[in-house]
Amino acid sequence: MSKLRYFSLLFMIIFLAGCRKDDDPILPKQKDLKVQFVAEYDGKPLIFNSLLNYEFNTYLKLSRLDYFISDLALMSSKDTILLRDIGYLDFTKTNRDEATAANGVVWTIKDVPVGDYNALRMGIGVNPKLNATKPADYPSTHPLSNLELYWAGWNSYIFSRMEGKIDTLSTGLFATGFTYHTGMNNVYREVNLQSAMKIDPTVENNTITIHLDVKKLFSSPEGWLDILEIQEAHGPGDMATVLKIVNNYATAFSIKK
Amino acid sequence: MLPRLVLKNKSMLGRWLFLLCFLGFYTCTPDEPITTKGDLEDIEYKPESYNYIRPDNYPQLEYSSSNLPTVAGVELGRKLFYDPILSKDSSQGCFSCHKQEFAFSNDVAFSTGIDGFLGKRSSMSLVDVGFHTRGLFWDGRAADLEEQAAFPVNDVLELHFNWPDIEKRLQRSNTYPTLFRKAFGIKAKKEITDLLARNAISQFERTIVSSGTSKYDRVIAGKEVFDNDEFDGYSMFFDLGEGNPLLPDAQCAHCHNEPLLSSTSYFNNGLQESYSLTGFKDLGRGGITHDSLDNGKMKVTTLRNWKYTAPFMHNGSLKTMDDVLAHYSSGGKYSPNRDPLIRQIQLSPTQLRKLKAFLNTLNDEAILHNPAYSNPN
Repeated sequence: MSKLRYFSLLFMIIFLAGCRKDDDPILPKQKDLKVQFVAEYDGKPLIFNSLLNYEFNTYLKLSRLDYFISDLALMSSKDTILLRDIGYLDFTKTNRDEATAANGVVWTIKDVPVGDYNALRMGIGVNPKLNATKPADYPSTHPLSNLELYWAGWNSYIFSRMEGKIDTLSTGLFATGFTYHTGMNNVYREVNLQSAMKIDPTVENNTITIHLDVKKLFSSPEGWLDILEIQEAHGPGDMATVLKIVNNYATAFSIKK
Repeated sequence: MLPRLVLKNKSMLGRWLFLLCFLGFYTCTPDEPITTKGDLEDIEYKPESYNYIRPDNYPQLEYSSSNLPTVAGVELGRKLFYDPILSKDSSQGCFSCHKQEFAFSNDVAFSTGIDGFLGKRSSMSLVDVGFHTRGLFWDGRAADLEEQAAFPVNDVLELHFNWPDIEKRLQRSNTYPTLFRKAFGIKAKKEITDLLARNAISQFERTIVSSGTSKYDRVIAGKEVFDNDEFDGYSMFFDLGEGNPLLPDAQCAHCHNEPLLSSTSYFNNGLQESYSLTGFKDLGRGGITHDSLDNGKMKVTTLRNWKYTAPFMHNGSLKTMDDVLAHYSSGGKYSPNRDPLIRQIQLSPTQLRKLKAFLNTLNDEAILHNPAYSNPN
């Protein structure tokens, strides 16, 4: 009988040791992360085909805004987590009204390690390694497959496109178009957005929101990009204009909480 | 009675009855359905995969796994493409508006259907059509070739017929059941469906690919060089002038991308005048998306073989390439969502001549005479 008691006691100890309270969940080590890209103009949601004050009561309307983003990564003091190697943002269909503009373009990244991060880094454009490839190298579902986004004359993808109309004649017709396309390796820019971010294992929708204030693309240390003067930049001959835009990425992109 | 006999008397009768029952249960099998052999099963089905050929610099040619191309499928599709069996009065078919001698387009602004009515938009060239993965027709209403093939049959302005009746014709035909068997492995004539017919036509249409023998292609491949005018025109077309005022950006390649010289997107190229987003005569893409900013936008056609596809634009309103160049040089007509790339360029006569010289290098006569695309009937 004494052996039976010992075994019973041992069994009870093992059983109780395995028990845990129902409200002590095992926390996941990875969670899905939503990276939300929001396009704005002068701090407000950017709505296509709406009046945007360029300067001094000169107005413009935007009709296209798209970007490639490379090597999107989260950084902590210990680690760098690559979230996505290449992606394409097209705000043309999302920024139709205030509601859709506020939502922007959302990427869902699976299984991001939980924890604290202090910066987000991303390349604006196609990184040089991928820029050496061509659309024919990819299936049609891949962001780099679109022939429209490749410029054979440059041997480069078109990293970004910003197009719209400006009312140069003050007729209200917005008859003058502007088109700024960037591309080629020398205009590829990495931005490092410092911000305390947490991937919380207890939160269902971890979200990081990256804002792009388009108005800030027009301003540079050298002054305004004068749309009234230069309405097109597309090619090596327009590099001075293109550089004004890409050098402003660091101030135009931000993370806001 | 039986249990009493077995238990009380344990007679031989009871034992034999038990044995019989046991054997009966043991040998019973479920009723098997009575099947009849399909009326096509005696025909051999041995599919041979078809490998689409494309130039090296072309994108991948994609298609659904539910319509894998076979040699027999492509041949069946070619036969159907050229067969007036698809129209109500058996007078017209796909070939009526997509003629090989016109690079699978035709030479009128609007085609005439079987009832004598004009269509609403110009016939588009089918050259390289298999590479268009973001919608077909001027307004992109068909997701793929398989879906596209359904529309002309049902359109009262075109073939003015219906697919159920076409199925019956095909099933009753002396030749088609065998061809469908060899293409798709069907076992009976009644299995011929409109989907299989459209699948076959799509398999054939995907074979219509530029041969790579145009002068432009030969230059890109390093086998030939442009003359001076062609080179200058090429520079203007692709904005390679690097700021040279004599070689301004003619804005062509923004919509007519290499190597297809077309685009999978939709643009308002200033052809239609409208002072509001809703005032367009033809809504184009906007009629499908119901997004007013898409109103007036149309799919970009290929410039390959343009010489054989006049008149131009969705309404055939521009008769010659000179008219097209004049349109773009002028900046087109006003509309609120006219593409910003469409602006007054004011090319000089010399610049226009050079641009046209380059455009002439895009013509590929091989496609017009390739027997693989011709009428097999």
